[in-house]
Amino acid sequence: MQSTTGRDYRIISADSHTVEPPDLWDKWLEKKYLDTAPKLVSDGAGGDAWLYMGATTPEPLGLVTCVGTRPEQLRWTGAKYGETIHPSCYDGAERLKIMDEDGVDAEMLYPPQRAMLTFMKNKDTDAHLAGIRAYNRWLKDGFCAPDPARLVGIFQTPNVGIETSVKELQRAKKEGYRGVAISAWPSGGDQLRPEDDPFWEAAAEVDMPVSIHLLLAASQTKTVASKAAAVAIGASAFALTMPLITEMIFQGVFDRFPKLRMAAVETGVGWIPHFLEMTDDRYWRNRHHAGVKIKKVPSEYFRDNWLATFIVDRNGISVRHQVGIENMSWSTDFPHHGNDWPYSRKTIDELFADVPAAEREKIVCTNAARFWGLMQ
Amino acid sequence: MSGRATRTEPRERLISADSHVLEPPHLWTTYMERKFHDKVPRVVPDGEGGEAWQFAPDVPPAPIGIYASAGRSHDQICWTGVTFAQANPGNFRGGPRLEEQDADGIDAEVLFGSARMMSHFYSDPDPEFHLAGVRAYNDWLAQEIMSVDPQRLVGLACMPALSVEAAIAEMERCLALGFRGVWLNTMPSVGSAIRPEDDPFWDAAQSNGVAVHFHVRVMRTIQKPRPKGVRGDDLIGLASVGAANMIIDMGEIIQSGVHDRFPDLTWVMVEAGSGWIPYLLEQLDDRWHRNRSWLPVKLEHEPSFYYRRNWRSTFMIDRYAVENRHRLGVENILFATDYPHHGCDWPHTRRVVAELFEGVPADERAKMCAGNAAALYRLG
Repeated sequence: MQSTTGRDYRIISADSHTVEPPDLWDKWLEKKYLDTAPKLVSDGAGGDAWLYMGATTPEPLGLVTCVGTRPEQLRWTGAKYGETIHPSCYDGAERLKIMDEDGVDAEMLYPPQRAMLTFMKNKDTDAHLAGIRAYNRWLKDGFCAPDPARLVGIFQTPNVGIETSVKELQRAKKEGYRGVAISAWPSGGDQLRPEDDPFWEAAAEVDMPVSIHLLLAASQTKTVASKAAAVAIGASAFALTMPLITEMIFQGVFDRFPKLRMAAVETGVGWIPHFLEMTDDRYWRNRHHAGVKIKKVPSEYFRDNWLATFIVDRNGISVRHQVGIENMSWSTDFPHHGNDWPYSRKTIDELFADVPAAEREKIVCTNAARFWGLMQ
Repeated sequence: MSGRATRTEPRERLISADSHVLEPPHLWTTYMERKFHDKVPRVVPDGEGGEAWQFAPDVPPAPIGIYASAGRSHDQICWTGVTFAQANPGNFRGGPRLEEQDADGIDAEVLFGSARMMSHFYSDPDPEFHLAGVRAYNDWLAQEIMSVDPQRLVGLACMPALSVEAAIAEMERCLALGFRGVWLNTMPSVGSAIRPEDDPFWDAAQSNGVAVHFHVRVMRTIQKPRPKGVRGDDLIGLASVGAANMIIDMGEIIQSGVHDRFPDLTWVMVEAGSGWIPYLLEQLDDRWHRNRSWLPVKLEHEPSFYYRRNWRSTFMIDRYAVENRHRLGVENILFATDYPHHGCDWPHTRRVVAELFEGVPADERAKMCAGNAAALYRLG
């Protein structure tokens, strides 16, 4: 495979994150919508927090701005812009330096979901669109501008109807984004439906991969969870992704749009062989009475159309041949609290200790490079 | 293998840790007082030649077809068109059930009812009606099913969704009737997640030495029974691993610290599959190690410790779980048929077991197929 950017790649994180700079909305959002934007306030413990529209308690930043933070120092509160929050969280040039320290050549960058949702929940569709567009502009012309071959910004798709979803996806392609993320089914329904087809069709046609970061947060009802269980919920969030994958497969989306490429991001992969076995077994048993009309066995669609990303997943690596060597990509989750910066290379060496070099190369680099068009 | 060799080998014991009964038409009017009869579910035609349960006048009837599908080929399984008279009689009668077990080569089954049926009672505003419905199910199971052969027809007592006190009272009433564990559909204090208010129930279950069971999910809110057989609801449930809810529920329960307070209580997740568990345990441990300094609940051990000590899970066709049995714990997983639901392979379970456990050492196979269940339910 050849690089399409002129740069060599050895380690690519298929799932990393941006954090909003403190002046994101002041600088990039149209003035008339500023009152709908998140407000920076105190977290009550010496740090900053974003007060999202409609919320009464502000959201602190401690666990999404972890740059070399030791486990015993992890706290939701107390993280402050300009002081304890490392600028690499929200500044692309700084991010490149810190990636060099970690040995990471490129990152796929996912949006801060809480900020996106504040706009997506706005009943005023103009304000909704303005907020999402402001983020996407900042992502490309701000954060990723210092080196787009290394900082790969994933475009946030808005949720104001199928026509806009399609137009925004086409615009994203034209402007050079390498991937889009959805936080709702493209036509805005509670469930996948035929009205979503124009989006899948457009994505397949312009060869734009579509990512789902764990769940469709703008429409999927989150399970009620206590604060104490937050970590457990993070570990088990793939349970929310599984039904999305089966819905797309069973409704025949990939029969209609065989070139559509989907990524299940931050889901981990160790559960996938079990999932595929169950899905196939239930397909064989229930396809008659459930009226399922698809051309292939469900697991084949996963192999042909899906990529899934993981952070630390020894179990998944040990069963990689059952997941599919070309269906999985490593990631750091940087700067969220699951990352091992600046020791990612050490983490990779440990994770892949018994893995042949050619397989390791695919999982830590070339699968993602090919999927998002950095290599071909 | 020749017929002769088969005959001279001792027969392998096989226990299904998850099977079902289909509540018969007479259950509610026989086991509930007359004053409740105007609100009990009744059997009506399903409009396609079969029968269905009508929960309330304004809810479309729920056909029984798919729950009585044992023995049908896949293309004959249907939501509608099946009557109680056509279903295997062991769905709701103890004597014939033993014959159906014999036909399949099954020694014993752990029996669950229908959560959707129970939610008819759970969602009723009258607590007296609610409790009477739960007790009726338990009384019917004890008198008409378990009594026929309590070693082969293993009953779990359905718990009400009213309060911790009501659940403890019903558990203790039922244990005296010979039930070998309890089946919860909600947390005992009926919160949206596990909470300290549930503790007296766990305490009582632990003292009584019985395991608590969740079948597929923990109901976080009580809803009226919804009609089944419409797209959207079904495909996900049927095709995407019933596990989805229990994956979240189990992580949340472990993380709550309940296992430090009740170290001897066993929890069983039923029909959620098992193959996903090693992945979840690794993630729970990794995240616990990273985040334990700020988490409000302090666990004495890493999360996977509690799974190994306190949890069991049942599985049907799950070759991946069998392959990964050492990561799951050979003693933590229990084979099940789901008879007579559409996941079962009756009367060919022996063949399925032979394929599923091919290459597994005999002692490990014996535990997963029967030994673990025999120990958990104290079967002779």
